[in-house]
Amino acid sequence: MTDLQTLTTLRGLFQEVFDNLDLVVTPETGKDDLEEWDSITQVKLVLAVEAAFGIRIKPDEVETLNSVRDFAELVRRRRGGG
Amino acid sequence: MNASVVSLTLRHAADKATALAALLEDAGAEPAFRLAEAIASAIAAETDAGVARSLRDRLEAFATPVAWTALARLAMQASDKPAALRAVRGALNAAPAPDAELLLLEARLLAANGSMVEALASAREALRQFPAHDVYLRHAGLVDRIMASGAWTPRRRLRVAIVGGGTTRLLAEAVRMNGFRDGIGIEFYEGPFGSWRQEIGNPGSGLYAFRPDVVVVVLSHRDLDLPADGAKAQAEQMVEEIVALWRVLRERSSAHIIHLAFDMPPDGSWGGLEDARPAGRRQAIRYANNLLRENRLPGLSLIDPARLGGEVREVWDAQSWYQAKHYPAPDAVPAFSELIVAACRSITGLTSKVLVVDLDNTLWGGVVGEVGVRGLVLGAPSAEGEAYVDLQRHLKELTQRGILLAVCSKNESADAQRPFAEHDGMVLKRDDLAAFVANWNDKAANIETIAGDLDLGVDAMAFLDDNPLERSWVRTRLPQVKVIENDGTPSGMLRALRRGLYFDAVDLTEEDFQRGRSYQARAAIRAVSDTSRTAEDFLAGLGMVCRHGPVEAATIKRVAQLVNRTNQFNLTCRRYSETQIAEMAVDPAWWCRWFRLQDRYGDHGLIGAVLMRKGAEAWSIDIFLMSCRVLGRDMERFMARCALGAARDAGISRVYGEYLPDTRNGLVSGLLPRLGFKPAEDPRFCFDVAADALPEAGFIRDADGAVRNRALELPVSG
Repeated sequence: MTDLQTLTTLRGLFQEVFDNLDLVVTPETGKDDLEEWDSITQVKLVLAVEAAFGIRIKPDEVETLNSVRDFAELVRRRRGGG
Repeated sequence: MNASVVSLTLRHAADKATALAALLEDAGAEPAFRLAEAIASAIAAETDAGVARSLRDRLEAFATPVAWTALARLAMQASDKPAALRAVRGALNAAPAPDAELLLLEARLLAANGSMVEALASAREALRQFPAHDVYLRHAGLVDRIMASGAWTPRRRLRVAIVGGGTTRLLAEAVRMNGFRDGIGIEFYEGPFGSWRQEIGNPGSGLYAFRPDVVVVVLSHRDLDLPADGAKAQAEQMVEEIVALWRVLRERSSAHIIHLAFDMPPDGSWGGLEDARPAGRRQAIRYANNLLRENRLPGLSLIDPARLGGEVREVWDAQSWYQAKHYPAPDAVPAFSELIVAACRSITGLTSKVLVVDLDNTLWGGVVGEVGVRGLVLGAPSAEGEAYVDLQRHLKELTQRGILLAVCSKNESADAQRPFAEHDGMVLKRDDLAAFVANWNDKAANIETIAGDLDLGVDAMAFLDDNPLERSWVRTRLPQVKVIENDGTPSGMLRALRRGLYFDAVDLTEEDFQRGRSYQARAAIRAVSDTSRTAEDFLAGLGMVCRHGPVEAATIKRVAQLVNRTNQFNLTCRRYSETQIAEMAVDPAWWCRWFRLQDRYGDHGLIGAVLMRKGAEAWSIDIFLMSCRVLGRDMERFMARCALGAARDAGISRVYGEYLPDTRNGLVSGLLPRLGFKPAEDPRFCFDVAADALPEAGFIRDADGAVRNRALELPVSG
């Protein structure tokens, strides 16, 4: 899976979870940019990413995921680069 | 087919268009959301414009759900929402069954367009397909927005407080979304993490400030924290604590309590010994649950998550518990929420009342009009035949607790009825059916006719049919009917019935057991009424007797059921919980009476209720309702006579009533004037009990003689 595809899927997930089809989502988009990104949103993003990519995220990895890039890199590690 | 494979295939194929065609061919008619996404991403990443064009063309030519969805994704990436909506609709039309992902994508695009009413319909239909948990998570925001938009009017509103030992937010959101699906506007309060004892114990807690209608207590086996053996005492202690807190909660709140029984943990270190030994851990958990059951309070439902055994592998999952003390495990959240929402439906009177079923390939295998009664697949030794018997048995058991069963079949009427009389394998008999419609007309029209015959709304009906075309037709024409999606097999239909909890009830009343007979009586009456000479003869011949009395312990449950379920013959449609009615029953400022009707066909049970506020100068009717089953007999005049007479006997001169229009009570808009009330300040009407004659109730005799009737004295005959 290419980074572009991962990014496209992540963009879709973020737009859904933050309920905004026009949300601009780049690899840099992070916790500081979106004020609704609180701890429960974190839980939802983690679960959504697990389901979308068929991976499991470990409990101690959760707090390291603070931007789209962090998620993308985790996905790449789990599934192998493409 | 995972995304990496798709990506590799499309990047490295010499002839990408053919490779794409092969992928689409493989996917067939199934929606496959993620596959479509992967295809869309691959095409979007294609640098050669000509190749990209040919790939898009290939998608358009294929027109399968996956192809349409990929086109929708591409359109969304290009911010072309109208094109995306067209493509999503193409996918939905091409899909063999409603697909939650596609429906929610449609809802999202419609909402972006401002078409909130349509978005609402798509979102609700999506949630009826039992999607996985991540679908709930991703669309909670959208559903919230739709709920807040003003396009949605809930049938009921509930304030639901959820407290527990772990993370409850995900469960609360799923409950809210499924509540929306079922017409219940749920506002929830979530206790601070792990603080269920304080929330209930402390009178100043947020829970009490929230004034909940329902309190859900979600504790897992981790909250019991039992040792492998010698666990009984600890289990007992916990139960004592819980029951004491229930009592405290009940003292301070009239909310209905939904308490989840303890789940069974994964097999422990002592294995089978935890079962075999009397104080083993697993034995102790069962013991705790049994103790909880024995010590239940009125207005409290104990729900066992073990019921989900068929649907979810684990209600508690170690990994998610360590991650954030999730209970239930995220994967189990949707099914777990269904248990809670089913209880909420029962409490608010929104449980489905009728199951409409098809015949051919639904109740039996085969088409009776073609193969005859002997050609039907029903019963041993055929495996499928036994499955149909099991399905019939399930439906029969539903009728035994008051769920009405109606047949809607495309058949010659004679053919359709024959198996009931002639086939030994039939568990269901003609008498088990409250309605029987077999003709060649469209099923949506027939279902509306059945609803009219039973005096019930289509929104109280569920529909079971093996034929996807029939399901799709009814779903489109009658969106309020719960169309039960299934795979066309009898075991699949049983599974779908089990999943949907359409008829789940937290309690039963005597009327539930009698309902079937009561509807049979109606049918008999209908037959009789055709041959009576006049309406008066007919009513006189019924030999009606009304028993009535003050609402007290034995009748509270049934009165609460009526208050929450009666939609048509209901002057005000005010809803009260069982506990609130129990309080009103003993409150000297209230007059609360139940009415029960018998006639020569049997006992219809408790079918009416009147609740009046007693003021110093005047009394005021807060609730005046009657079951539609006993329409057309002047029962409402009897009830009014009784209520007004009581006011007069108490020295009161005026009784007020009001008609509050609700979605389905147009039937009684003119009731108060018909009973002799005169208009007062809108929406109130006033009856002058001192001056005016009380309404007469024709042919209903008062069992206690308290209500004097100038009607004929009729014997109650058999």
